[in-house]
This record gives sequence, C-alpha cells and structure tokens, in this order.
Amino acid sequence: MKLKSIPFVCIAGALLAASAAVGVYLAFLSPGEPAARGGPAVMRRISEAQYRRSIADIFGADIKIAGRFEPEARREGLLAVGSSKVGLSATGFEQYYNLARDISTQVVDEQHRSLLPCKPQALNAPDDACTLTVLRRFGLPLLRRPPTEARLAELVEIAHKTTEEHQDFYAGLKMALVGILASPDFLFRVDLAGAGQDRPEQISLDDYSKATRLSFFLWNATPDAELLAAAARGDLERRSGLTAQVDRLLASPRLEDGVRAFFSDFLGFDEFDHLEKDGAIYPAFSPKVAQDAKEQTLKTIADLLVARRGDYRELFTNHDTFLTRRLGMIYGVPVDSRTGWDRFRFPADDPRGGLLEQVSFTALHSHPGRSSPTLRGKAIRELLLCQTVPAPPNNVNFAVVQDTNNPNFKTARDRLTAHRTEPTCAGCHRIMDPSGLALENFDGAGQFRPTENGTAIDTSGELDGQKFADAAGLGRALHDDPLAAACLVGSVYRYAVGRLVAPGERDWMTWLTKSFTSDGCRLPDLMRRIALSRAFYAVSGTPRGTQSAAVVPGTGSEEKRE
Amino acid sequence: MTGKISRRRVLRGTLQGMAVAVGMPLLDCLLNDNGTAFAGTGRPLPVRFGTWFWGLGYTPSRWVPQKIGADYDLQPELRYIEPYKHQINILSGFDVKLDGKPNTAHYAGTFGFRTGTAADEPDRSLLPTFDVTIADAIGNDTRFKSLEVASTGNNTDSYSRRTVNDVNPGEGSPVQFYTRVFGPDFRDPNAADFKPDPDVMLRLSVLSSIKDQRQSLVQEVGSNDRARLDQYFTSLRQVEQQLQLQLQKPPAAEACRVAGQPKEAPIGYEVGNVLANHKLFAELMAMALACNQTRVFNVVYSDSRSQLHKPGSTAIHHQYTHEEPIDKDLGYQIESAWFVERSMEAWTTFVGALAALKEGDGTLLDHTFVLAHSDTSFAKTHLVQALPVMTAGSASGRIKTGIHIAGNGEPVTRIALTAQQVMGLSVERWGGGSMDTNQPLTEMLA
Amino acid sequence: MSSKCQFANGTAAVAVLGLIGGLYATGVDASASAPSDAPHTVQPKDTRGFVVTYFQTAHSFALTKQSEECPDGFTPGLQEVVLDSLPPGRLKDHVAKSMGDRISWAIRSSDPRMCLEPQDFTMPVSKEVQSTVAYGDNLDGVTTEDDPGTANSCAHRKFHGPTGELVDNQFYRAFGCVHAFNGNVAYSGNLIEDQHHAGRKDGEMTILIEVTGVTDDRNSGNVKVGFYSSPDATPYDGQGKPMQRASLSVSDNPRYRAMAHGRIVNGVLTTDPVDVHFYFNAVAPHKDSEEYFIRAARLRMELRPDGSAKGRMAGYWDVEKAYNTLFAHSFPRDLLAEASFGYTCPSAYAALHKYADGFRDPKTGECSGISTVYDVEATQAFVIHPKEDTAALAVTTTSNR
Repeated sequence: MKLKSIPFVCIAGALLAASAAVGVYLAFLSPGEPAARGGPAVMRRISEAQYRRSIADIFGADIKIAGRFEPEARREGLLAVGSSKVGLSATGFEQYYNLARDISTQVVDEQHRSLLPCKPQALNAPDDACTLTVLRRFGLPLLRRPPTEARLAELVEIAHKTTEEHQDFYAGLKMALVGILASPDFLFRVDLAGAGQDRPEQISLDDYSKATRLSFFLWNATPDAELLAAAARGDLERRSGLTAQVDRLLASPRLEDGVRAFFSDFLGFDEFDHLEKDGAIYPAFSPKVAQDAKEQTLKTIADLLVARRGDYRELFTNHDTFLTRRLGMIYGVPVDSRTGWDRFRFPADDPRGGLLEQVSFTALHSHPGRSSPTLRGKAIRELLLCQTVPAPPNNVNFAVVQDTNNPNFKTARDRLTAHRTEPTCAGCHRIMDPSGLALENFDGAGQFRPTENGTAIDTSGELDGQKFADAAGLGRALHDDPLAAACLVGSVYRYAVGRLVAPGERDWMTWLTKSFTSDGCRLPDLMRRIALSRAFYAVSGTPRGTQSAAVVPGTGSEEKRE
Repeated sequence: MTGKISRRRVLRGTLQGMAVAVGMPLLDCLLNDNGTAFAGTGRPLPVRFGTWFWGLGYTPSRWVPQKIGADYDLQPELRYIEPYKHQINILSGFDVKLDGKPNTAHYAGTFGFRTGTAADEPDRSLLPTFDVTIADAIGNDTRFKSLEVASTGNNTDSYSRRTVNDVNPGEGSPVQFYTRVFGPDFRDPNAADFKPDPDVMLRLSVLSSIKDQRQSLVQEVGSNDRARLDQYFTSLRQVEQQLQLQLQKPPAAEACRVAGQPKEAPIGYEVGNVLANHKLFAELMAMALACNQTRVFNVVYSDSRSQLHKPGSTAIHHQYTHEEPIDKDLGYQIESAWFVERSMEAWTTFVGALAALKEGDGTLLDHTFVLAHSDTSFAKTHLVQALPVMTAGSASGRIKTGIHIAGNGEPVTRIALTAQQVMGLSVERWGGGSMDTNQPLTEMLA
Repeated sequence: MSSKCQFANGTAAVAVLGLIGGLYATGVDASASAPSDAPHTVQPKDTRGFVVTYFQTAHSFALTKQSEECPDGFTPGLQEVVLDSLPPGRLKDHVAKSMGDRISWAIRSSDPRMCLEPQDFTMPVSKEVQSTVAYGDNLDGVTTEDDPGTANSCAHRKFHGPTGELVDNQFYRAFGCVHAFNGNVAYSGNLIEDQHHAGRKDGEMTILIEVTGVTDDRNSGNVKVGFYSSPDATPYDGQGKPMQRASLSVSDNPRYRAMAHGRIVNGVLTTDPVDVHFYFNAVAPHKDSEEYFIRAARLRMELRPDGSAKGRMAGYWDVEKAYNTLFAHSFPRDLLAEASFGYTCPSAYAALHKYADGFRDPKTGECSGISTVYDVEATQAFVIHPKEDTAALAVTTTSNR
C-alpha cells in the first residue's frame, strides 16, 4: 500500500480528530491501565455446547438436537483458540445441514407453532408478511445481528416457492429457517469492525460483535434480547452503557455457565469423552463416574470462585467439594445423598484436598490401567502453569525403563529413576515428574492407596524451588507460584478473544495480571476488568477489508498426549 | 437481486415434475471429471481408492519378507494375509525423509507419508493429504466425496485432511455410519422406480442463497479467515452435489445389497471392541463402495499412538512398545508383537470384506486400490525409516499384485505418487525437500 | 413394637430393639425435614460398616455323607407325588419318560391354590435328616442331645457341631433331604440358594451391619452392632464380585433396624441375641413384599484386614415368614418350583410347623420359630443413617421399607 502525500490541512484536521478520539479512548481506561492495540479480528466456529445453548435459548429447551458435531481443535492450549483456526469439513457441513433441517422441522411443527410470533392467514398458501416477521424475529438472535433486507427477501422468496409447491405454509417457513441455520454467519462468529473508524489505534468491534464477544465470554451463550437491544441503541459504545450490560451479565446465574465453559476448556475436560479405564483393574470406575468427576470439579469451582468469590489459588488447597455416591466409592468416603450431591469437607489433615487430588485430574491424566506421574506432571506444567514441555526425543534407549512387575522397581518413582538420571531424559522429566510423583497415592482411577506393590509411596518433591512432602504440599506450592495466577489470567484472556496475545497487548496483560493478584485473585473481578477494557474490543491492523492476520507465533505446541 | 440471473427464477419454470437439466452452472461439476459422467448402463466400473491405517508399525524381524518380487515369504506377523497374498503387495524399506525437521512422535511418519513433506513443529502445514487430492479428482460424481471411519470410536483419529486445521473426521460408531450412508437419505441404485424429489430443487435454492453470503463476508475478514470461508463453501458444495445427484437416477450397481443395521460393540479403545467394530466398518465400507456411495475412503484401525489395550493390562499398546523388555529367548517384545498381529488380522479382515463382494467379472477388491500404512516401523524408537506399506487390490488391472518391493531407502513419496497416477491424476512429481520425486514404482504398474 | 426376649439358664442377654432410646424415625420420610447444610465429612474412626454379600442357610450337608444324611431317600417333590398318584398304564408310562413331561404334568394336574393355602392340602410328609452333625448355635441352652424343651422352646433333638458342641438346627433337619436345599444333589441341588443369591445381586435384599465403639480392630470389648435393611442394591462389579466403599442407606422404617451389644475378640465379632427383620423384596402371596424375621439372632463373624468379613448367624426363623419367602408363590405357573425342586408346599408348611423349636406360645405350647443357621459374608461399606432421627412411635405395618 503506497503512502500518498497528505495536505497540511488534512493533517491538522486529522490531528484534532485524533486527539478527540484519543480522549474518548482514554476515557475507557481504568486508572493505570495501559493502552492496548488489540489483536486481529477472528472468525470462530461455535462449539457443540454453544450451538446447543443457542438453539435452546432461541427456540426453547425442548427442541431435540440429536446430531453429530465436527470435532474441535485445541490450539495454544485452548479449544477456544482452536475455534478461530478450524474450518468445516464436508462431513461437518453435511452434519450441520442435517441438524438445521431437523431443528427447523421441530420449530414449525404443531407443538411449537404457537410460539411463533404470527400465524399465517391460510395454512396452505404463502403469507410473506408472516414469514418475514418470523425470520426477523429469529434471524436477529441466530445471526447475532439484524439480517439484511436483501437476505430476508431472498429467504421469503424461497419460503414462498416452497409453500406453493407443497401447499403448506410451514413447509416454506421451515425451508427458510434452514437457510439461516446452515449459513456461515450462524456457524461462525465473525468479528466485524465498527464503521467510520479509519485509524489503526481506534478500530474496535462493531456493536453487535461487541455484544457477541461479551456474551460468549461471560455466559458462553449467544447475546440475549436485552443485550442485542443495547447493541442496537449504541449503548456499548458508551462506558456507562457497557458497564450496565457487563454488570447485568455478571450478576446473572448464567455467569456460572460461562465460568464452567472456561474451566472445561482450560482443564482439558474434552478428554473425558474418550476416557477409558480397565474394568478389571478399576471396577468402581465407569463412564458415569467420569461424568460425576467432571461435574464435581466444575461445581467446586463454581462454588469457590463464583458463589463465594474466592481466591483462585485456593482451588489447589481447599478441602470443600461436592460428591455423589459413585464418587464416594472412588474417594472412599460416605455420601448421604442417594442420587444427588452432598457438600463434603475433607478434614484438614486429609491428603484429598485440592484440585490436583480430584478424580477429574488424577484419573484424567492417567492410563487406562495405571497412574502416570509423567502425564500428571505434564498437565500441571502445561495446563496450570502454561509452560511447554518439549516432546520426547525419538532415539531414546528405553531399555532402562522396566515393567511394573520388576521386583526391583516397585513404585513409579523407582521405575522413573531412569527418567531422572539419563541425560537425554532428565532435562524434561525433572520438570514433570516431581510434581506428578507427589500424586502417586492416587491410582489410575483416582483412588487413594498408601502403598504400591507393598512398598510405601514417597511423595516428596520440589516445584520451581518450593519443596513439599506430599500432595497437600504440592497444592500449597502451586498456590504460591506466581506462574499459576499468570497462567490463569493469560488463559482467560486468550479464551475470551479466541487467539494468542498480540504484541501490542503485552503491557496490558502485565497490568491485568498484577491487578488480579493484588486484588485477591477473584475470577469475576478479572472477567469484569476484561469485559470493561478497551483492549477486549480493540482490533489491530489495517482498516477493514485488508487486515492481515498478525498472529504472534505461539509458545505452546499443539495439544498432544504422550 | 441485481441483474444477475437468480437461480430461483430458473427453478421456477421447472418445479412441477421432473427437473433434470435446468441449465444451472452448477451442473458443470457433474460433467467435468474423468469422463465418468452418468451414462446409465454400460459404463465401466469405477476404480476405488482408499487408505487403511494402523498404529505402531511392526516387529523388525517378524514382518519384512526376505524374498523380493513375486511369491514372497510370509513372516510371522504377516501370516494372516495368506488367503489374499496374491492380491497384496508389500512395500518395505521406503523412508520418510525428515530433512532435519523434528521426528514428532507418531506424527512425522504419518503425515510425512500422507503429505509428502516433513512437518515443522508445531505443524502449520497447509498441504493436503494425498487421499484428499485423489478425492478432489475422482470423488465428484458420488454422493460422498470420501468416507472416513475410526474403529477406535474417536472421531479425531483421522489422518485425512485438507490442511492442518481442516481434518476430515472419522465416524466412530458403525451404527451412525450405517445411518449416514444407508439411512433415510440413501437412494438404492438398484431400485426399480425413480422419481426425483421436487423438494431437492428447493433445498438447492436454499444452499445457493447461503452461497450468496460469500461475497459480503469475504470482504470483511482477513486473508486467513478468507481461506477458511472458502473451505466452508467447498464443503457446502459437497452437500449441493449430493442433492444434485438425487435428481438423476443413479447408475445400477450390481454388487449393491444393503444389509440391516449392524449391532455395534461398545465404542472405545479396548482391543476386542476395536476389532469387532472394525469388522463392521469393513463390511459397511465395502457395501458403500459397491453401492457407489463413494469412490474414496479412509479407514483407521488403531490411532497413530495406539491407545489400544487388553482388559486387565496395566499398560496400553503404546506403553508396551516403549517399556516392554525384549524377550531374551525370542528376541522381540511379546506384548507389542501381539498387538501388531491383531493389526494384521484386522487388515486381512478388511481386505476380505472387499474380496467377498462379487462385482462384474471379479470382486470389489479387483476394482479397488487400498494403501495401508503405519506411522512408524519400529515403534520403540519411533523410526520412520522403512515405513511399513502394503497395497491390496489391482485397481481394475492397473497394477500388478502379489509382489514384494524393497525400497532400499527410497522416499515414501514414490508410493503416493504411484497411487495418484494409478488413480488417473495427471501428476508428474510429488513431495517436498528430499522427498521430492518424479519416479513412480514402475515394478508395480501393469 | 417392643418385646423382650427371655432366655433360660441365666443367659442374661438383653434384646435391644431398633426403637431403643428413641433413636430412629418412624415411617415418616426423613427427607421431609429440612436438611442441614453443613458439609459432610469422613466416617468416625470408631465405626466399621459392612454390607452383606452372601446370606443363605448354611451348608450343613457338606459335613455328612449323603447315605447317612438321607438314608430313606429324598422328600418327594410334586412331580414324584403326582406320578405316584397315576394308575399304572399308558399315561403313567408316558409321563414317566421324561423330566419335562413329569414337571408339566405335575403343574397341570395340581391345584394352583396349593402353595397359597397349604394348610388345606395333605401331602406326603418330609423326610427328616438322620445324620447328627450340623452347623448352628445352642439357642435354648439345653445341654443334652435329646432336648425336652424349655419354657421358651419345644422338644427336639440337637445336632453336634463340627467341633462337638451341641447345636440347634431344626431347619436342616426338616429340609436337608429336599433336593433344592442340598448341595450334594446333582439335579436342582442348591437351587433355592442360587435363586436368592441372584436376587440379592438384583437388589432384592440388602443387609447392612454397622459396628460402632470400635477402639481396636482386633479387640474391642464393648461395641454396638446395628443390623439394617437397605433400599439400595448390594454392590457387585461386572464380574459379580462385591465392591467396597459403597454408601448405602439404612431403611427409613424402624422395623428393619435392630441393635445388639457385642464384642470383638482376636478379630472375631460376636453379638448378643436380638430380633431382626430383613426386608426381602420377592413376590409373595397377599403382600407386595416379604421379610425375614429371625428371633434371637446372634452373629459370629471374622473381620479381616482387607475389609471383608465371614461368619454365621443363628436364630429362630419365624415359620410363617420362612414359608412365605421360601415356598409361597402367587401365580399358578410358579408351581414349577414345587414340581422341580423336590418339595410340595403343603409338606413344607407342615414341616416348618412340626420342627419349629423356638418361641413357644405359653397358651398353646406351640413354637413359632425354627432354629436355623445362615452363612454370612460381608464387605466394607458406609452405612448412611437417615438425616433426622426423631422419637420413635410404634409401627404396625410392614408395607414401608
């Protein structure tokens, strides 16, 4: 793009406009908050959970969605970031198309017709006015912005023709709805920049994109009617208007849905879909136990971080949780509630305390038939501390690693001695194994065992300089590790924007992390700070239409399990 | 709608009753491939292509035949293929050349073979796997451009992809696969009566109205996202094609006989279940091919890291390959070898499923070209030299079968190049870096 | 309901019923009261809970050679009785040919009311066990083999236990020569037991035992032992093996709770006698469900370090309840059991009454309990009590669990 010479008058005018804009811009910043130029606009495919939530919110929870969903991809540690990388395979489109037909069929069936905003004048003839009303009514929340008139006209015409062909108004309406449900701007959240902003430092998302980003961040759901209306009025352009909506969303019980969605991604819970345990070795573990374990952790998080506005770091040390009887069999504790959940508190000296000792961590990061200090140590590094562990070298002599029945190597610690002493192995395994070994009292299903093969288990170790004697000590070490809080902040932000942190955001991220820790590591406060920041809505790069994707190469590798 | 001819206007005149040649530009795609447009009876039987994947390679002393050429000997791990030996080629000793790129475990071998280029770490490659290239060329006149299945039940166990971000997911449930292929949207090619459904035209117009969004969206996104949108619309075209095919009577397929819905084993990585579900997938895929639902397929028996496990074992297959000591007397890893043998058993089952269907003057297998490979040769050390590769079927006589070809360190890309040429693609050279090659395996060409 | 059990010869055992101290709620649903919101926590250190994984009349047949046990042969079952009643001829020959024919003929030609109203029919008498060794306890304290009875028990002969002591086991005497109770028999041996055990695996009967006041796992002089029915299924894994660490609820109905004093000596738990009711969810005549009612039950069980337990329970099985759980059936086609298990309902009913030796009614002199011993196996479980325990009221129905 060639630079043209700019007349002086234009420069002066531009400077005036710029300073006014900067004034407005600065008004958005909190005290001490550095400016941030944002990152590239992203286009994110909605996840299965978001798809289902949208349909339930817009058409009602009783619409059945029995379909297959395209797998998501984990990039830079998060499915949320992967959502801005993946396309849609032919199989995937076929599946969404069939879902669209299935959902539309239900929406117009006799049971649900009464919920539509109008009735046709005749059942067997076109009624373009009513079709238009319905499409406007649903098009807005589905596409997360008002559909254009041209588009609506096209869809009305399709409905018209279909109705004539079938002598059935609702057959036509159904066809038009498919046209929306299979369209890319439903299946993808496309960031659009606001109109009339030609300076790189000023570009931000347009009102509807702001509303979408905000709603998916706080509630993991499509913007509700009130938020869409606020966007239409331009409220989100003003500090007061944005604050009102952010605080409304934060005060809602639906905040818990958003927090759960974040932690499900952050903690890698999608792996639960493929978690298998050997039924002979762990008879008490079943797919239902796996689901309960996931729910236990999410309930614990929702209780500690949302309901009680607690300190994030206490997840690693707190002894309060929720249990079902199925989980009681794994943890070896009594559970009163026959079919539901008990509030449960492990005694202060009980080794089963924080997040790391929960089944959702120990069983998820294990093999089908045994525990794995390495998988657990790797998870602690990569998920909770946002560090990357390099892949193992390929020409390793594995002869030194023996099987579990070797009489000399009774515990995992013994078997992994080679990991710590062989030069090619030690570099990485010293990073992973010690924290994983602290959890060896928990077998592959998360069940507590004081010994392994008759030998007492040694759970001592060190994490980045902090020594500990047991799993509780490991929890405290993680609690005290500044990387843990920083990792959470970075992950929440990446999750919210669906990409890596851009170079222009680095200072802002530092400020965000400092504020988080100095204010007690409260998650809702962090989310509020992000949701009210200019950074969250800023889009970097050249003006609309010629943006290049200036993504900073990540430090993390693609999620792989060894 | 501005001046351009709206498809809806064209459709208006032809909705009542049959709608065949409506002059829509879309129909071009039905006619422009390798001369396999619908010709009713008398057309030659199509040649099918597919890949078959198993994880964690073989045991060096127990797989590679000693004799080169025809009449090769069957080492212990290959003894299972004996009934179909004369239709199977063994391609040993072909290397994935990494050119200094990292040997990412269970990845570099698989995608080195399939994309012809060693990947960076992390892989941001936009290269398609060659099965996608073949499907793009020959998959345009069947209902599905290609079909993917994962016997492990995990739909991310798939090595067929357009780019690193656009992976073709594998169907993990035989029942769901059956429903997708032979369920409500299946048109029996041998059905006596055929009436095109007028609804199809309406559904096509819905899809084309979606395509109208493309222009405005593409203007608003960055270049990376533009590519993703394009890919979305390419996928949309697949469904369009499926619909368009429904307007025509499908050519008869003598070998097509659809069985009832299968009863699947529990889905997951337990080896007994994987074997059972793989057998179902083999039969269903054979039927899908015989019924011309697709010409290209990708089957995964075990994933490239093989998480398969036996009930009661504390270790999974993958762990055995790394941790199991080599038996002093036998000279190999016993448990690991057990898993290799199950893989070869499964391969035999798959080949057998194709051989069991009579078609034309031979069997479905005769009209197919299957390429089987693994992610590594010796899993214990993640070797990607001498990647084990096999072919099955003679591609309607286009290749010789029953021979053992020794690669002697030649790049694996010669195999994929050969496959593309056999399937009629005009590609002269393929592969990148030191895997760039223009030499097909002439010893295999008929 | 409250009653005290008295024992002769100075055995000053006191039966403590589930209602003692007003500890338990009545049939009122415990969850109706507002649950406390305080978090739950681990089990108290002095508590050991168990779920019974095997409970069946003990295999005394294992102690004796069959020739000594039933020298006059086995009790005729319905198929034998019916066959015998046929006059010689073609029909008899035809029916005699195969087991299947004998069974179906027996069912077809019998009065379907036979098991529902056994007292109205007459059938050949049960064969009595003739051998002298059996498992059991000395329930009435008499020290001679020929037991003349006491104020609380009826005259009968005792057995010798395996180590020589005198024991009461009239149930074995009455039914040891019935095919389906005798494991030595090839055809339908042990079938009654197999069915009940299968039923337990289906969740038909769950018994919990909870020991509190344990100061030492090997030796605790003064513990309390609770016996409870539970609405929750006994936990078994995919291979049919019992699973530990399950949480199982005690029945809301105080009828199905009992409490006894006990002690642990060298790892063996013994309890003083107490009346117990165990809920048994099987189809029975006139009622939706039935129960085991064992009077003066006492348990002797070895507690192992791995959390499992094994032993025996002896007591007087209420004969009416025993009949209902073992023999009575609601449906005509269920004469299949009679026809193939080697008994007839009328003779079984008569036998239960004839051999009853406990709980003598002072007015009529009749005994309503029959001495029985059960093999018991159990494994660790958490016994969960109803949330609110209020003062007890008398409960007279058995329709609540």
